[in-house]
Amino acid sequence: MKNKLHDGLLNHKLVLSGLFLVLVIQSSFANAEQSAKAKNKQPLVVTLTANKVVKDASGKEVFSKADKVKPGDLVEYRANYANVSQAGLSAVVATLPIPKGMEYIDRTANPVAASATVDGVKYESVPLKRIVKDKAGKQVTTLVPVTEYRALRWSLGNIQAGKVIAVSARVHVAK
Amino acid sequence: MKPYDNSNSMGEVSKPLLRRVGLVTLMLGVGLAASMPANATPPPANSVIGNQAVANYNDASGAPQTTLSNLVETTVLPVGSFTLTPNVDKSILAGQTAYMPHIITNNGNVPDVFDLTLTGVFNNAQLPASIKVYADNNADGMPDDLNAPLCSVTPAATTAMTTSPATCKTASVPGGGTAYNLVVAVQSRSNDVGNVAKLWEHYTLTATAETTAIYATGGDVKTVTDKVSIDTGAIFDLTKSINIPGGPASAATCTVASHAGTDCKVARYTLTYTNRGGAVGTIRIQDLIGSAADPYHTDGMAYLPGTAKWSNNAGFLNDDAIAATPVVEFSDSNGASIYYEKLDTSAVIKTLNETVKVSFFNKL
Repeated sequence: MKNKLHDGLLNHKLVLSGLFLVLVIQSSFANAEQSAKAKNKQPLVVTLTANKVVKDASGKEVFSKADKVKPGDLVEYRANYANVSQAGLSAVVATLPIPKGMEYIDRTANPVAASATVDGVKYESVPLKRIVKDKAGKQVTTLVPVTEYRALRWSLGNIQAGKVIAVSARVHVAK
Repeated sequence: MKPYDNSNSMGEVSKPLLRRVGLVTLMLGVGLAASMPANATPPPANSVIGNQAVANYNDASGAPQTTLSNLVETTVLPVGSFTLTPNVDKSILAGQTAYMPHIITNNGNVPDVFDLTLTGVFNNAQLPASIKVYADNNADGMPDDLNAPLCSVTPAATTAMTTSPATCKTASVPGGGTAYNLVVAVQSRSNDVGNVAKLWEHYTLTATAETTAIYATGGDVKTVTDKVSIDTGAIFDLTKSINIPGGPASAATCTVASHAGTDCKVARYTLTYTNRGGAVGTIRIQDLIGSAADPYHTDGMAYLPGTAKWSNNAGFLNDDAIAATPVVEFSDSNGASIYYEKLDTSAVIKTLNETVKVSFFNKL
């Protein structure tokens, strides 16, 4: 297309107007961007959304974009993993961070079979547990408060061409 | 795989580079969170919480790949919330000043200033000599500087009292559970006498948040009611302090029975009482240690047997079980005696919910 525009310039031998010059430059940039996109196109596209969840008068959950929230608000993060390529992808692992300022709500990970981390390094199946000392000084295993979870992870396995798998979790804005 | 290799041969910053930098920042944030027990406080107003999901996978050729999602940003709106505590009830001798400590705790996510007003419900014939409000930044229950009150209040009966300056206010109090301590000092007149009910005067302290719009309806105003009595009998002041050693927690092997080990940490509680009244009196003190019911939540701590002592005697107290007729353990030269009982009827040292009860009998 870039060449075609240049051909047009030569064939019509028009005096270059300022407007026409701008059009040429814009078209050239657009072509370059599309070319770069094509070269860097990822077979797996991950789309994350954050929605505020409230219940209406009838108790039904209503979702709205969580671009502005208040402490205590309930927010659902949902990530779609879309295989946009023509071939299958394997060993897909989805990781959803729980950002600082948000607190994971227990048992809202979907799919249920998830792992979690408190340090961003070591992931274990939920619910997370740790060994602590009880009042008598004896070591006991206890549940890690879910508010300490810093990320969730799912092993999604294979995603076939054209297929989408979603993961989600709910958090509270800390208060 | 070089997920953080973000330079190209030209040293230029490319778009993929920026995305990778985003990954570094994201992961670093998760890593830093390790030292944080929880997000216990609300995020500050107008802060932006960003999030990006991550995908790790093998492509069609089997090569490992990493992809980030779009960046989702959530802005935190300002929300106001605060408490004013506690109601204070104190007795003083005529001519003395009662110091009434209060705490404003800003639980919102934005700093705010709180206006203070007092409404008196006083006996017209016995108005206080003066009322002043002070900052108490060191939280010791006393004014930081007696010469620099936040305001002086003109005592009045059954009405809102005039303050000078006209608006009595706190400093700006940060959010996130930050406490602002203040003290109301009520000075009685020297010729006041106690009445039968000993309810000489009381007043309502009201704190009103200045940024009204960010509070729930009615949430911008809090009150406490203080009572000051003129008394002629014994008036005790009681304070409790704790000396906690630094460093890591006690080792798992540290139990009450083996507390002497070098890996065991011991906190020392000190109860201090003073009779500043006009007559001999008796004070009975009950101090719960090792209970979640204790206001300071000392659940998990246990009393170490044989370590209680009275400052008027060098020896240690006997940890006697509570009895209908307690045994006097010590008497000092002023005629003050101490009874000490431990609420533990078994010979085995309890390690859970240990309760210690101390009784003092004091004579001037």
